[in-house]
Amino acid sequence: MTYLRQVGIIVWKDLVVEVRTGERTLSMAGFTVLVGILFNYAVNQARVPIQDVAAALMWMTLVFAGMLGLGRTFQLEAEEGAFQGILLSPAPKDAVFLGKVVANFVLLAVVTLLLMAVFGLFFQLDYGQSPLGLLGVLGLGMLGFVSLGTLFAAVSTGTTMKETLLPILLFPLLVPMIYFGATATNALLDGRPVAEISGNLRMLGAFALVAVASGTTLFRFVVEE
Amino acid sequence: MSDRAGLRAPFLALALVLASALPALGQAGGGLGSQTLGRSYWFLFLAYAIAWALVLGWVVSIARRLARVEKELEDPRET
Amino acid sequence: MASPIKWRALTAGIAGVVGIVVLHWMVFFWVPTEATMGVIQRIFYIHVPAAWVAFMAFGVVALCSAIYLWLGDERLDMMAVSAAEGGMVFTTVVLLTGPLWGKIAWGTYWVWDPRLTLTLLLWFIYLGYFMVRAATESPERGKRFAAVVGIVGALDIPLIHLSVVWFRSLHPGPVVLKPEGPSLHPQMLATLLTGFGVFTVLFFSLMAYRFGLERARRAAAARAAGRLRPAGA
Repeated sequence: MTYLRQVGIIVWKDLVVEVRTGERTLSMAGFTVLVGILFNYAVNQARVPIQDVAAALMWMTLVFAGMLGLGRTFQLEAEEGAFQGILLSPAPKDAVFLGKVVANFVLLAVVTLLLMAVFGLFFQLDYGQSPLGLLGVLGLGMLGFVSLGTLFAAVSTGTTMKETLLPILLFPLLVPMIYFGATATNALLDGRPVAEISGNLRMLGAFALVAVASGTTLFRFVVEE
Repeated sequence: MSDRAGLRAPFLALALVLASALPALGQAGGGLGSQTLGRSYWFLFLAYAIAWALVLGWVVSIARRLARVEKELEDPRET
Repeated sequence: MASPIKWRALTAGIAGVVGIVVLHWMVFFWVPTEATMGVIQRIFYIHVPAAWVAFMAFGVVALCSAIYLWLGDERLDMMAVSAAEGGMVFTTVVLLTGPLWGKIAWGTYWVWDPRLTLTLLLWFIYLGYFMVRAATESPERGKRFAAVVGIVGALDIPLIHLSVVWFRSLHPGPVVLKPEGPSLHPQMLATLLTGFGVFTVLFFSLMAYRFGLERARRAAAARAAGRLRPAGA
């Protein structure tokens, strides 16, 4: 069985489970909408028009929503802290990792689209200038986020603290994604052309590359007996 | 016994160093010159004191843990 | 307890103390006062060396972690955890001395200065390293998890560095006074280099001390594990 096919099988399995139970997607989607509502009441719109902080709110919402879903990535495979489900699989460990990353990315992509729709509606955001650019920025950021998140989800699942450890491990490392992502998003929402944010995009790309590469290499050490 | 003395010595040293700074506390407001100048000296002292307190604290922490483990190793415990 | 090791430790210890005394003499009696910031600038001579050690220590952690995962040699993990403990201590020194300097030099305790921000994030990465070690039921797994945290942390730090620097360049705060002035005065340079030397020696000697503790701990654990095995099993 080719490597790609093995990855594909894992992606398919996870997505099928998700479609059947809908747990993770529902909680992430619900979170996104509800947080949008809370933000409306939290931001002092007399002082600052909410459009000015919309990029920040979007990125933070995605991070928090992502944590909800990422934490449960290995719930099925990890019984009592051991990764039997993965160790017994014939697929090479890095294929399992990439499969999980792609599946998580798909879930988070769905949530991102929902976020853009909901926040666009709630805060009257204008995506007209470069909607594809916006999707690109968010997509690239989410790729890095999901890769690091999947790796550390495996780590935290193997600890006694489970998902509660995930923010501490993940958040310091997300600074580049938040900074370059939110800056680029701000620029695009302001109507700046995509060419202007090329530097930010390159940094997001570098971040995603480091995240995927290190995750693929290190995952086997996390799950081995 | 010598273990305990060795462990207490750094604390004593630190206490003496900090005690020597007490006059500076009183002078921080006026004796050393203008208010700002006084605070500069006080913060400078505090910075150095904190730095060495942390390093010394680590040394003491290692020493204590080592003493505990060595005691465990020397003590022939029967099941 | 091996004699040659004790002699080496004693020599390192004495060298360290002598170095510290010399450094303090240089800082408080020899080096000239910086023109713009005045006396408070002397924090520079322990703040910067501490930062150097904090990041170098993490480099040691990452390197030892990577080789540990690759070769599986326990001694590398022992070195990693020893370096991490020291690194965390010196990182804390940077984070506490920085704001003291900043309050006098900039007027506030925190201004998102790129280097301080990077150090703050480094502190949390160290925290994650220790939490992951402690929160596992199997110590072997804890060591592997910690190694992963160390490696990924080290890979991300350059990217974090770029983020905090870009941020600062776009959002300049109060005028960031360079600690050196237009160029570093030779006496200031000498004092700073002495600081680097003393702190580096201090770090490695204390890391060795911590390594000794780790060795003793594992010997004790091995002995305890040996006793738990029923006779003849």
